[in-house]
Amino acid sequence: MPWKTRTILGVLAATAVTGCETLPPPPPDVVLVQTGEQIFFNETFSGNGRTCGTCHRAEDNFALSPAFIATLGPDDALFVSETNPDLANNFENARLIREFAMILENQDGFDDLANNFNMRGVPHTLALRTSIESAAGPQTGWSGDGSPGDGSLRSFAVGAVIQHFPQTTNRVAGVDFRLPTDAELDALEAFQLSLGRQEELPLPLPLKGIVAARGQEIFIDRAQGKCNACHFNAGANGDPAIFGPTAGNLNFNTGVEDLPDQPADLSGELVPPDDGLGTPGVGEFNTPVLVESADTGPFFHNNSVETIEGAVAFYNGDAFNNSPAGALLIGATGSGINLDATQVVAVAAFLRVINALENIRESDSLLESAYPDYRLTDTQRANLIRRAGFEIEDARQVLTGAGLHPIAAAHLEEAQTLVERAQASSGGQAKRLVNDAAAELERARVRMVD
Amino acid sequence: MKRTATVFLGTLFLIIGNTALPQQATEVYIPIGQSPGVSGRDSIIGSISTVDHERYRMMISVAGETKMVTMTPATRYYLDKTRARKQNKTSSFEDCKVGQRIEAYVDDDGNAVWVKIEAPD
Repeated sequence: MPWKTRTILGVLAATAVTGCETLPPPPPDVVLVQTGEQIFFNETFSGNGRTCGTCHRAEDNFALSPAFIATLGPDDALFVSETNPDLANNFENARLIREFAMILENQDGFDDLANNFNMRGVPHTLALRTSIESAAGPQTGWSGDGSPGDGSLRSFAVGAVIQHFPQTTNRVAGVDFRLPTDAELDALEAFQLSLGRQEELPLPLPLKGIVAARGQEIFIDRAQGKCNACHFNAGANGDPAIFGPTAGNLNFNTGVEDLPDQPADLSGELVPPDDGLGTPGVGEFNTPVLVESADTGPFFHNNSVETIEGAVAFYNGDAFNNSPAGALLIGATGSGINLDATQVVAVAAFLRVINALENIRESDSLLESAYPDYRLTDTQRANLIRRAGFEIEDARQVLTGAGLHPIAAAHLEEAQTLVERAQASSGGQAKRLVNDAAAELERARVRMVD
Repeated sequence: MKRTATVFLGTLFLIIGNTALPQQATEVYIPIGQSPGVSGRDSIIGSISTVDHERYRMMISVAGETKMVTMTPATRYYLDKTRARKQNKTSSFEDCKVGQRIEAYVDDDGNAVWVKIEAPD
């Protein structure tokens, strides 16, 4: 029976029984996303207790930072190598998790667990719909080869379960974990694709802040920042005018591995060089989205740079300008990237402002989704409002971290307060508070962009 | 400025040629018939009927039919011990024996990207 017919009959039946109107159930695509969300945060796949949400935290932009890790209790599944003797060796480095949010990956194979591994940060899972397609196929994970099987986002969870969820490092399917079913993979893919931005930004934006607006100009300028060539529209795809209309997401060796004084290296712990794409690797990593960057640090695959200003400044340094990607850029344009401090800060301000605008868009969308024209459980509604609160707080922090748009930040603070009150309320009162929060979000937004 | 931009465009075009790769490492722990998006679509599952060690190819019997699969230097080999509840291992062409259950993931040219052979109990 078609869904619409079923829904109408369901509504009629419910009305007949109760004598009053009731909302229909959610449409199938929403149910699939809801199912995926439940699996993402709760399903351990009979493994060591971790879920996808253990590392991709909703509270931390579906990523993981040292500051957030510091708030976790000792029995959190993230620290399973400290609590499960079978995973005490060669599964994680507890110090590097706690200090630098770095997770162990056996990207080049499992034959020499003690020596052959990479330490990588946790990439967020926002805006995946805009960032993983390429002419050569899907690019997942830090180096584009994060997914087994056909390499698709749908298949990604299978590799993640094998790498991060096993009860022992024997990794025997059916013993140390169970593999996700096809239905679970479908739902997980739908949920991940639903997260964050669904479309590219249309740059240039009519920004009101003079520093951010200047940063946008530098970002786009092919003679100055040159950023837009590989991060087209501050996304993860190559500029179609340069790389072709279907190039999509591209891999480069930008020299991040050659950065001196990387925090993890300074720790004295064993951190083997990461060879990126392939087995053995070719030193390339895929281009990340930038719209969501300012609130998802630390930056780069090895969490080597803590601030967005530092990440922009990376492209001024020897590591980038001597890298294959840097050499390509110099060969193509006659010079590397050479921005002064004010210009670095301006580009970072631009990235902070577009991140805050995206936080506002996403939080507004989540608040609107909390009161749809179909039925939601109280828990589902509470989760949506809770996630909106995280986004609003991020927007405020991203702006205040660089002294940007203080009046917008004040509106965001008010919106945050209203959302917290909505979380503590119910029924019509909660809905009114959510509407008031949305109005504050709009007041913040119009302070930043026309 | 216009010239610079033109050169910029032309040169950067040259780097397109990246190939998206599935992750190779965790494939070893995925049992025969369960590789996501591959098993049942782009793979052959059957039993080895002949092995030609000189020409690096083998015949696989699948439901009464026989299919030839050619190995390349890039082909990866996995020994599947899941049914015995033991740890899977990487393997080699020399481990492929007549009668073994096998899954071969083949490309459009009939070359094996990887093969998984079931370990004897």
